[in-house]
Amino acid sequence: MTQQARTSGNIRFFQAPTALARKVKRPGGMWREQAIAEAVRLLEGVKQDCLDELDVLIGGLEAIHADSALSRKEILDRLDAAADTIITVAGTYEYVDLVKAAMCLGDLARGLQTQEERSSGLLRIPLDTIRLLSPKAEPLDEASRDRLLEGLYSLRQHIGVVPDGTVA
Amino acid sequence: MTKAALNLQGVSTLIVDKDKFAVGLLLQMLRGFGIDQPVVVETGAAAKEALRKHAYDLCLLESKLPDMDGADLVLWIREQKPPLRFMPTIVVTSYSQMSNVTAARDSGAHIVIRKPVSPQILFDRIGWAANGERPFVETSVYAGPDRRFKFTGIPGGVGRREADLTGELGEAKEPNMSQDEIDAMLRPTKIVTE
Repeated sequence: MTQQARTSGNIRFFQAPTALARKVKRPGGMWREQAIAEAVRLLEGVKQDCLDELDVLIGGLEAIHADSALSRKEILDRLDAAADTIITVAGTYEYVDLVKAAMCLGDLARGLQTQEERSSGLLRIPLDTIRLLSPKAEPLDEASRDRLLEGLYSLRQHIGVVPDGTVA
Repeated sequence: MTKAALNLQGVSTLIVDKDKFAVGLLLQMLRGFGIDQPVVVETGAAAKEALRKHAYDLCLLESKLPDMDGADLVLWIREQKPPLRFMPTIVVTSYSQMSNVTAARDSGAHIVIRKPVSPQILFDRIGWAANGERPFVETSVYAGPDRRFKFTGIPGGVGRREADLTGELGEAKEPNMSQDEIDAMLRPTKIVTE
């Protein structure tokens, strides 16, 4: 199964054959540029549907935030998960500012998990920013976008959340 | 960058992720590469069941699963018998801080990709994972692809790089890593031993 195992102390090195390694070398296949172009074409084909669904997701953020039936932890978890989704979709279609805002939302949601004394009302700021930067929203000029993002970074700094969600 | 043509047709792929958006986009990319019908499951438990029943060639998994960390699923894979034990695994994460990347690497993952995933990054990393030249290592505490690397310090000196962060912040304890830095942590290079 394995070839040319080499041991050093209790460490064993060997070439582990995998089906993937074998299959990719079969005749045929696609060149990098060709495969990537096809993937981009397929992604473009679903872009409108994804942006429509992203719009629905963004529209529902406020409802999550205000849902009195949910615990604080549940709200933060759901907003963190929503931020993750926004990063995925907005990043794929290169809505860079929206990705930055969603990253802030995720950082804040995770950071507030450990700051019980702080109000989760602070999340209204990134939620508003995400709404304003939504692909379906009226486009903002560059200066306005920068101001919004600067406000988010200041907020994150103010409450002592660093990008890994821990408290400084 | 992968320069050769890759034949990914018929490569059986398992995707483990509960986010329908992320899965939908991954499916489009994989289809573009020629991977026809990946199987999708949402949880670590479902992934284990699927992996027990079928020999997959490749596994793409989210780092945060509803019932376990992705790293724990990779650890479980590395505890199984071949060929599952050797299966290339790619962890996709939004949490690209060094501690998270290290956890994925030390669990035995082949590759870690930070979100958002681009077709270029995904294709190249699948090519890298398929590269049979990377040795497999087994020790009493680790099983997985060779993770040795030559650490030459963080580019630009000590601490974080400005470009890693999304804005001006106070001192960050652990910034998000760029994809290049993640790759550098996982790519084995020859090291000199005395």
